[in-house]
Amino acid sequence: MSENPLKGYFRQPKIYLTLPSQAKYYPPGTVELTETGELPVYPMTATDEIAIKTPDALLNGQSTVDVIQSCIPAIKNAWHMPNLDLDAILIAIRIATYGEMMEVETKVPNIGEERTYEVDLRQILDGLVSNEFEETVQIDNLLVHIAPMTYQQFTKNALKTFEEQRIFSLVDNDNITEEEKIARFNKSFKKLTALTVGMVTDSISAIETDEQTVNDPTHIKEFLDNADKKFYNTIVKHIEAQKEKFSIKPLVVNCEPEDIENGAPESYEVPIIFDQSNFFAQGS
Amino acid sequence: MTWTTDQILAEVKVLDDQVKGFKQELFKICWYMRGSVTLNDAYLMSAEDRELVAEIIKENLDTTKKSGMPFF
Repeated sequence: MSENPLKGYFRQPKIYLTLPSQAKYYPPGTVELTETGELPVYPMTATDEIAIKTPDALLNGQSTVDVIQSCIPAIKNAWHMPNLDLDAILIAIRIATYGEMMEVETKVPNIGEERTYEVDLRQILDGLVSNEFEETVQIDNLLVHIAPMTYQQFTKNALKTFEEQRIFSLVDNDNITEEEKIARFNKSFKKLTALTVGMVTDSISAIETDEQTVNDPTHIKEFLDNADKKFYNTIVKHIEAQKEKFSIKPLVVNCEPEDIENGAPESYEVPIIFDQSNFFAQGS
Repeated sequence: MTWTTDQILAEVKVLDDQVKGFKQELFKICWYMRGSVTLNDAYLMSAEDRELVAEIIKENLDTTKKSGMPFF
């Protein structure tokens, strides 16, 4: 069947999104901005909604990439987007598809009663967009340039970590000897450590010395392998701080007077966790 | 990822069931719209569009029940 010539008229953009990264870090040709620097966001089609519920494609990241490229056609290759844009993009797609409010279910501490609250995704989105990624960190006389990981790097590392954790859990098996368990545990532990170091190395785009700027990944890796612990820890701390900036803050809930009388605290925090059951599902 | 294999398999089953239910909803839209919406069109509809089509179908069914005329 030939493609429907009316396909382009099916959806209209529902919202316009300003990327938290301000579209920096995208390789040339991977994103097309409007005059205002915003990106049009279309609601998901039924095909997108099915893609986001396909387990294997979810695990390897392909579903996420396909849905982003379908709902934000201005992003030509979502594998290359900086990971710090991911939450904002998914929230924007969620708003465009199902609206601004999302229900969050929780149990009241101490009394265990279930409550449902509505979260305004617009506010969460505004919080993410107003942050700024600090891309340099000074360590003694070295200026280190940090670049956020791409979605491709992030997914690759997440998959490797998942594989190693799976091996980790297999070690806890009664059918193998203690020596074998220790050997497998050590091997897996080394791989996980290498993965963590690899992620830090991938995050460094350049190091400026007094004389020159080094951006050769091999030289950076060699330097990091031979750097002292203080240098490594400062970089990790900086990366963690940037990650924290772009993470979604928990919802603070004030308890009802009757719940407080029954032993509930005056207020408590509910983590806003986006998963398949609440994020890409209608009914809120 | 801290889920056990059983939890992962249970989630896979939930997702599979959701996809089946979802496809059924699309097929129903095509059937009740009497061919004016193709399956290809249905797959390209957004949640809001499907909701609007579902309202049209409901109105037509109600009219059919009230008038006793064949479903149109």
